[in-house]
Amino acid sequence: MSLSFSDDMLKEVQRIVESYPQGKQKSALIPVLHIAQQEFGGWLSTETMDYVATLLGLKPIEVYEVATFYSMFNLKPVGKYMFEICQTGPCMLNGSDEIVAYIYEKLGIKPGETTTDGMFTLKTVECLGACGYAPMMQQGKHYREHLTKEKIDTIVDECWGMLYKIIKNKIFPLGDRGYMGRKLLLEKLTLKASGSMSVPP
Amino acid sequence: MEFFGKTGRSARYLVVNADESEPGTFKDRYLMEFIPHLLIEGMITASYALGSKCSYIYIRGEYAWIVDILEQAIAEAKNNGWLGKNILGTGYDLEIYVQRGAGAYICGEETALLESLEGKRGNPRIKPPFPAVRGLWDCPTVVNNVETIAAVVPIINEGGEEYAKIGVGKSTGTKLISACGNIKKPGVYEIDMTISVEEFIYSDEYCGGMANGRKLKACIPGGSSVPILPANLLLKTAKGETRYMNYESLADGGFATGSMMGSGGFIVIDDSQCIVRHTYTLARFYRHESCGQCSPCREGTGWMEKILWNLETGKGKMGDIDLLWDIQRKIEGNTICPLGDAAAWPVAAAIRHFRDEFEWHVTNPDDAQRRNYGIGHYANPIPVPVTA
Repeated sequence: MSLSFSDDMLKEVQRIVESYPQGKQKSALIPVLHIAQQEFGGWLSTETMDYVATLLGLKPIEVYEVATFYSMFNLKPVGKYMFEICQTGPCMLNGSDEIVAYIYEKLGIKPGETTTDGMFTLKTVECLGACGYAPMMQQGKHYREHLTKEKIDTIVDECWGMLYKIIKNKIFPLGDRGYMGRKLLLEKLTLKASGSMSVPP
Repeated sequence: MEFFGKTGRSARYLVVNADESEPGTFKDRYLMEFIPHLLIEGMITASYALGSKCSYIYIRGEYAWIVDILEQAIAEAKNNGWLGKNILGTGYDLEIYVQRGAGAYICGEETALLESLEGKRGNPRIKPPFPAVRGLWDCPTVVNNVETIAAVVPIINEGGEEYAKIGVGKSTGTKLISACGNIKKPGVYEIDMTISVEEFIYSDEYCGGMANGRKLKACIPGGSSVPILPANLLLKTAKGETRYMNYESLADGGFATGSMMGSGGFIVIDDSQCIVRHTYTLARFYRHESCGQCSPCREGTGWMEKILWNLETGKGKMGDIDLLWDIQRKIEGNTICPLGDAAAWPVAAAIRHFRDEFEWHVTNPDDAQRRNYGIGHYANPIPVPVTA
């Protein structure tokens, strides 16, 4: 299977490349790797990196050395939702350790691990620049700040809710058309969303 | 254009350093998130002065949503004719682009930032040549922080002399302080550098005092890299004078009894916290962020982390404290970029001012292991962390 960006993404890549002087398209590498990671399952496989290399006219090694340097690029598959908990000084002072311990208690994952259903990945990261709003984590594009155990519960439920919405829209793209199987499936997903399907440690 | 030297013809660049990742610092985020137009205006003025036709904002990768805010602000400026071709009919062209990093503290160092902007690993370059001579794509480049560029606007609008009337001594103008840690009101405060440290921590206008009724134990006044100060040296200098929130007063006494203003990341630590554990998290941070180019930093930061972890978990020996001191001394000043120094200073200062606490961890290994520090103000158990 060969990878390829959609036309919209190729246009975006083109826009990024044009923001540098002629012949300096290597500068687009980091932004394009961000896009690639987002498009191809949240991580960078060798195949993905090779594709980016051909796209920008670089040698594969130039892409590998950059992808391995920066901590935001995942070189292993990750769960659908990633919790990146800050654990540096100021967050530690405000109890980030408790949050990591609570996620372990709730989801059964240690830093660097993914739940068996591929839903959540826990990652501990170094300072994210939100020290005044500690303890905090990054989830997707946004920061979740002033974390408490209750807030973690809400976030986990929210993630299930988001997945539920995505699946519902995929199966019933035309909206509420109603047939027997639907009810059963939605019930199953609702069960998941309420957290009763959480994975034992 | 003295700064740029005689490199007249080639393209010039202004790069704004928004790779804010110093633990304790989050002031640039505030500027970009809530007043992005101030930064854009400052960039237009600075680029015009430098003769740059293309300027970049290098923002840390984690601030993904701020990229959208900045891009929207740039689009608004463009729609109103403040950016693009022939700005306001002056014949001056300027484009501003936002470049996202991908999570590397070292890219806050200006030459590492330029390497990263060129699409490479963020390894700092050897200086000289300085970026002003050979920077981005070998062209003369000025790299400045977000706060600096934002300060251009009031300086141009009110005039340099008027702006310099704010503040005291050499600490003129205002400074953004991002206060965090165990205080009631963490956040970003703009101060005029005439207030005392005591007022800053305890007044309701600023930090609002210590959280949970605890006592002040120590403080890192300028981001994690600068030396930590115990409460008695923080509020008063070694000579017994009041310490003020400005460059001179915070640095009074050098590193022996003073600290630095640094990046303005004001981390306040209360008496329930363990200095060894805090120092350990900082050592881990620098080990994680070391780019690996220079051996003293690459190896030294790892050793410091391991030794501190041993001490913290009650597996340390008395000799470890001196070993730690020795390692930090051998890192400092022996690396290409200042990350080595930044890793060494917090460890050195922690040993200098809190040696008794390190020794306590060696003499009370069982208590240290249980993370229940036993003696009086350490009686706040921290659950066993799950490390990767």
